[in-house]
Amino acid sequence: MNAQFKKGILELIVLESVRKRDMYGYELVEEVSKVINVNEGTIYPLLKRLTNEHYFETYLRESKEGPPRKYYHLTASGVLYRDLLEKEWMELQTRVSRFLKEQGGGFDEETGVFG
Amino acid sequence: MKKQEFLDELRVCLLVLQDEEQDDIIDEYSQHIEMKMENGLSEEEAIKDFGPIRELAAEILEAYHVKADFEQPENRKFSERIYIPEFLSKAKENGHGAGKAREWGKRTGEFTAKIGKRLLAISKACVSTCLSVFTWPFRIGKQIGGSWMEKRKEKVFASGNEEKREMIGASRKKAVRAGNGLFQLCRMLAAWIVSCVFWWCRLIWNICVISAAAGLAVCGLIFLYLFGLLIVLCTQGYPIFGVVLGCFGAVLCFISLSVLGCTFFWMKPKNCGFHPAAEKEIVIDSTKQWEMEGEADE
Repeated sequence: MNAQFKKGILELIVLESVRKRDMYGYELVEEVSKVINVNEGTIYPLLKRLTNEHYFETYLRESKEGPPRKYYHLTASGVLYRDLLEKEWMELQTRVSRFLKEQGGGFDEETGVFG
Repeated sequence: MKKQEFLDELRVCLLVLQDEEQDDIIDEYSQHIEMKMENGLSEEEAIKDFGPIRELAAEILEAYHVKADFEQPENRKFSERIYIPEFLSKAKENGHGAGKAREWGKRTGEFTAKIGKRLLAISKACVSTCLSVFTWPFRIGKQIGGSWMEKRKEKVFASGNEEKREMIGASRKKAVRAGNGLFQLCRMLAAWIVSCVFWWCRLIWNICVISAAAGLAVCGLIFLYLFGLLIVLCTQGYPIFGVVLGCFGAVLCFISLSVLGCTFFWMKPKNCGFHPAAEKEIVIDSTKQWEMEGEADE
């Protein structure tokens, strides 16, 4: 997949993943990797940025194996931001697919063929 | 690459951040690598997934709104910090063009310096002419006053050889002793009133001059602003060159008018013939003469 696509949508996927339950870094990377194949290096800086912008809160929790883990928790402003991103994403999706349809180059659902 | 190597290298890239932040990031990456190794990946493979360290560090720094390619200022050369116009830097890239560009810059500098010197000389000449033209009434007044005073003095001193001077001193003492205090007081009062009136006149006049000059200067500044604006528009291709020239003329006009206004500034006269103190001297001189005549009569 186009790296730019991934980079743009990664934020929404990360926010959505943490919304369901608090997660630590490695867990989150695995969760995101289920959706899109992403370079692990890009997720941690993203987490850092979202934390610095107060969309995430972090806390340490002891783990059975190894040192305590840093958990990420979505804040209220994080939820709002996630909703905004989702809305934008949906809008973009419909617009782009409509555009592709109009051009006649997209996937035709009725006939089941491309072009 | 080993884990420790990776973490050390990453830390070097993040030195611009606070120590706690560095530790926080390093801890997280170290934990991540450990977990991957527990899941059966080799150390190298786990680290490889992060991609190039430089890019990773750049992304982390971006999260802090820090420039990823920032270097310490002392490491930079001076020439890199100053703005170099595009065509000059291009010439520099071409290698042999650098010399040309430098020469061109030097020539331009010399040319502007020459123009500046000429302008300075012209403006000096203008100012001196203006001064000489507009201050002639004062100078003439001064000359007349000066010659008048000298004549007075000459009269007194011509008639005043040493004998007579002694006589003047004696008669003066006499006059003081005789109780000429009231006359002195009146004269002082009159002098004081005159000087007060002069002071007020000067104040009012100077305020008028200053306000006029300030108004003209403001006009000049407004036109200067307009001139700059028009120049910008001109360089953008608008056909308004005539208006620009007109505006420049207005700027020069208003600035010179305000300078002219300042030349009307009424300074406290120092060597002028109409100085109150000088007048007092004259009065004294005339009294001396009068006393002298009185002595002669006796």
